Amino acid sequence: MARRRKRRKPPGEVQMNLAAMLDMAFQLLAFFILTFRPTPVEGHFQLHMPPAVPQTDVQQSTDMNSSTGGETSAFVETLDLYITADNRGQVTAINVGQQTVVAGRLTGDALSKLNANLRSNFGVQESPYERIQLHVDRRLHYDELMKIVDVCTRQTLPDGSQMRQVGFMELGNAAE
Amino acid sequence: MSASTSEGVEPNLTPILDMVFQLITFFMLVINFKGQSMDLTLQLPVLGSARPLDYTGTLDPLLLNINSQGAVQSHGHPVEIEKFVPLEAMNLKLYLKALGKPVADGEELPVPVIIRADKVTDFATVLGVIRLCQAQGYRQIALSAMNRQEGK
Repeated sequence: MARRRKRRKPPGEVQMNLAAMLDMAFQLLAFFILTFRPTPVEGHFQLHMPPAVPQTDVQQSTDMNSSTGGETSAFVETLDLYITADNRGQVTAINVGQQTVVAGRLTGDALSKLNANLRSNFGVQESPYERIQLHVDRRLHYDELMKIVDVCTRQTLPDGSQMRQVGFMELGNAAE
Repeated sequence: MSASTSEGVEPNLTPILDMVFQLITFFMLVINFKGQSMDLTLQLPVLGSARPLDYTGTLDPLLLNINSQGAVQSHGHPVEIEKFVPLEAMNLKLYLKALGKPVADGEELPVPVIIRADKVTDFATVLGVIRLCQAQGYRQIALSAMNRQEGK
């Protein structure tokens, strides 16, 4: 192999020392690699809540099948769901109005039953309901609640829009 | 780097520098400052039908993280929710007033609240936060969930 000869540089040519720049670039790279945390893929259930109502109105509405609490709900027919839970925060029963739709754990079948029931209420052209009010046991875990919210927000109103008017309320006797 | 002698070989650093700069550019572009406001230790419920937030406003949504013990965190710091939400609402109202779009008391604030709660957080805690937000005029509430299980 022939030995390479160093080319003679023409006078006046400036050679940049890239080593320092490379050091700095590696430091920047190390910083970005170490601080890199990919954001988790998250979704949301967007709800449009009614204005806050005084507690006296809330109590009144829990006794009725169709709640009337608040400025919005005074003019909007509301479908009430009553959700009870055990001490482990799991669903024990779901009532739609006075009808028990789910009795026991919130399995896939139970969610399908709930979905079918809600669809029968909202799917009809002359459905009077525009809002869902969830009366929830205070012990219920958030993941169980979200499964129910998921089913509620899947319903479509007669005008074709998605159900977003979901309200929450605590079940009165949950602490006992 | 040692100085090259008349017989030494001088590596060409230009391609490696190019590559390193490209990597830096990549990491700079994918860096997500929004992630700092999230408490990534929370285990969110997994629901495939959760959708990205439908909000086109210029103001940042109010993001609240609630852990399994019921403690609330915002932008990486624990907050006293009873003081924090009214303060945020007041600041927002002042800002909107300065912009010439004042919001009267009792009117809806044009900014959503994102609630990220751990999956074992009890309903009473979540409801308490929602009620507090409602009382301050926040009426667009977005409940967060994962689209799929992490690592799958």
